[in-house]
Amino acid sequence: MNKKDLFEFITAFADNEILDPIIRNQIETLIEKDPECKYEYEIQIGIKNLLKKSCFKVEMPEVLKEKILFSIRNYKTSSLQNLLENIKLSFIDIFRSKSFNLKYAYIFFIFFFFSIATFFTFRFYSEKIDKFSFEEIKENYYDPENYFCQAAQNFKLILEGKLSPQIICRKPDQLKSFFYSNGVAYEIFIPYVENWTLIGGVISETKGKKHAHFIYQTKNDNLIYVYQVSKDCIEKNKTLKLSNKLMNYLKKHNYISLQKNSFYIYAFKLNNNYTIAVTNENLDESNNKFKDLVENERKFKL
Amino acid sequence: MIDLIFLMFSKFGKNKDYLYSEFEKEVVPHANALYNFALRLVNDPDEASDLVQETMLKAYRFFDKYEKGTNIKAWLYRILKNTFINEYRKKTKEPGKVDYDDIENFYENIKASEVKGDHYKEDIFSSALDEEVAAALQSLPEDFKTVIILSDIEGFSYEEIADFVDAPVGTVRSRLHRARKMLYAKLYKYAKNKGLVNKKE
Repeated sequence: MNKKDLFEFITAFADNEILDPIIRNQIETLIEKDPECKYEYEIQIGIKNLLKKSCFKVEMPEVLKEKILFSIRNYKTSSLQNLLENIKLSFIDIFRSKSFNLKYAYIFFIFFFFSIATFFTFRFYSEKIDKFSFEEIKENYYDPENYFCQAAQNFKLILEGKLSPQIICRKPDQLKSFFYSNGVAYEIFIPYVENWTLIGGVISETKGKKHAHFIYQTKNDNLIYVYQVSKDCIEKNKTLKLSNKLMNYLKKHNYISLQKNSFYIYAFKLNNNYTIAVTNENLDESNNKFKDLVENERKFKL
Repeated sequence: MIDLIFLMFSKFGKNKDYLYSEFEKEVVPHANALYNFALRLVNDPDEASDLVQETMLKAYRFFDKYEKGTNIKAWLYRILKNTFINEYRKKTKEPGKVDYDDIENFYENIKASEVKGDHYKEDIFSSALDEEVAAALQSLPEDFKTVIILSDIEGFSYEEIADFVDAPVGTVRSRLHRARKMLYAKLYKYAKNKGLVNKKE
């Protein structure tokens, strides 16, 4: 063994890394007898102890720890990249798996393809626009705090002349400005509909939240009253009541229509807002623009 | 076939909250050690903070790849070292190259004199200030600095260090041996400047 190797073994001895007892004894003897070996050993052990003593550990700043954990928690909930990475890695793992076999892979991908196709087919057909009967949602109709009930009552008041528009205007943008400047705090969607003329709007207040209402006139001189509220108002804050059944149905971008006495009521979700339209004109398939809007939006979401 | 499907869906089925709580339990206790290691590698608290943050985020992203029961500290240190090499080093200059032959010659001279009769070792070890030790450590070439930190400050075994720096155990032993000699030579110079050793050296 040359000197260089010997000195490196002395380093390993100082670090208690020599497991062979014979070599250990030999090095120990050399350290005792040879001053140069002793010197090497003392330098190695001396520096080792000095570093242990001098390089004390510092505490990681608590703010930094919190910051890191916050970013990890945030990463956990928001990272699409992570999901894609997982998908990629899952496929890689399958190909690397010992049990991977091309025959199984074909079966798996055929199964996978049909599952996806079935899912979308089922989703498309199961969410067909439906017509509800009054009986199915009547619980919404008699509670004054219910969104559905309020919409029907307001329309009744309009027809009786007891509720008039606060602003008369024909332009959707102008009406929106009126709503926003008077405290309506969500984005309002006022559709432009051919052959319907916008008349004006009203702002109401429920539990401190302001809501937008607007009215159209059809070419047959009938009125279409629209009550539009934000998603949060129904789903989170529950400022206005709506039965779970109806809410869950509308949540999936569905549209319902029903007739109660001489009123025709249409409820749907449009651009993240819950919307109820009440009219005294039966909007049949050919002139029901709400239905077209909802269908378009639903296709887009799919 | 079943195990393939299971393998595929087990990836998606892993509960994210469970993953986070496991991460918190396994990784967070090592955050201080990671911070200290980063601090010694970059010698700047701000850069060390960035390095630790990046390391922990990567550790979280790949936490489901970590084999439970294996050495998590070594796994984390490896991520930190790779992050340091790949990202931090891009931004900073390469550390100045040290001519090891010069240091070796200098060390051999000190040794010759000390073995003959002048014993300064004890004085040098006892008089070295913490700042001087830190500065000497910082001035070492990166490969040497890494092994000496991992061995003498963090207490890893040769095998763990070899795994960590992706080099054979013999290389780790050799680097460690030379790193300590370099440190001693540097501390000797500090001591000489303070008049603790023979000025003629």
